[in-house]
Amino acid sequence: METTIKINVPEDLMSLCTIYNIQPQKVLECFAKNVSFPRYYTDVNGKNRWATLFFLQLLDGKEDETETDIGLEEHYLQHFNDTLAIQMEEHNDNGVKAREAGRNVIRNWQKAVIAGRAKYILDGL
Amino acid sequence: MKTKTNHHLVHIPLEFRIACSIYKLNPQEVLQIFINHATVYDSTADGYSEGFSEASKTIGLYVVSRRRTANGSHAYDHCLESTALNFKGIHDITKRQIGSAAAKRKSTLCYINELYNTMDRVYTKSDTFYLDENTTLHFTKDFTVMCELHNCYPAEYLENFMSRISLAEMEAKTSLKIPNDNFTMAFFMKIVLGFGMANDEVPDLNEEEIAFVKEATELRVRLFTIRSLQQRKAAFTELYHNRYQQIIN
Repeated sequence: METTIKINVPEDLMSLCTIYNIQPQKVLECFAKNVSFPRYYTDVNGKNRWATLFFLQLLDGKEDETETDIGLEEHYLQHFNDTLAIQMEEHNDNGVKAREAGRNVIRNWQKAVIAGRAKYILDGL
Repeated sequence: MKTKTNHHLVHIPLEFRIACSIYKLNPQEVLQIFINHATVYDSTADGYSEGFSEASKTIGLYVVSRRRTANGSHAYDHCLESTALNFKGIHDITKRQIGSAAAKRKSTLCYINELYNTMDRVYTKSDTFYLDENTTLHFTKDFTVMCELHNCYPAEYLENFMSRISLAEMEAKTSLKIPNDNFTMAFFMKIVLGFGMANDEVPDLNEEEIAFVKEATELRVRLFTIRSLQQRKAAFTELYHNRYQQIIN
């Protein structure tokens, strides 16, 4: 999916981008590509783990104003963990199948979150 | 067959050993700091005194859970009247509005001395306790009086104190933002930061230790997807156990 985002590139990042001749856009794309629960949790020591760790740290530090549905979160995280564990056990394929199965769980979680929000809006009508 | 517990021996639980070795503390030193801060005064006083309150209330909580003194303290059977007067003296001091906690604690000492001198020792045969052949703990008069008063062996207090120390549990609760009411653990963490220590310099870390700190930091972030306290505790227990194995090998 492609989306346009407008961000303020801080001086420190801008300087580095200029020095090393890298587009800020490239940096963020690279970061975005690596934020992935299915990939991180099937290879926690992989060399691309940092972006997801950064994201997790962000989640850990966030206060409750993001209004995450805790019930859904607990349910789907548990389901996600179990799915990965089962798939990793069953297939000896460096986590390929597990990643796909894990991604499916997250997709369903996302659907559930959207459904929840839509319900909130529709009920208000 | 009922097995007889040897009250002259103290069993040091693995979790406590682990916590001490991770923070390079000597178990004997930690236990001695605990003993030195447990006082009759702080068991009854209302205000908070750093270290003293935690140590004394750890014993208080244990004593309440055991309910051993239905028929009174054995050590004071023979001198109930003077004992009552001494406790009244201590009680009056705790209720005083003026004076610092340290000063008030000090003024209870004359009553503690009296209680110490009049008791018939039942649970504390000596003021020196052998952890092993070469390490000893020294009981304060306050501590000894608290053992006799509540009909408890010193080893019970020590074991109860140690049983409340668990890094894994603390980590799991903190990371799940579950309020932690274990003040004994909070006391231990104060000792980690130098409270009551003769030498409160924080030791430098070697390469292996730095690697462990990094590993632990990453694990704390990774465990985000685990929302159950039990599972998180298990993960931290594994981390610390592995590290402990590394340290002792």
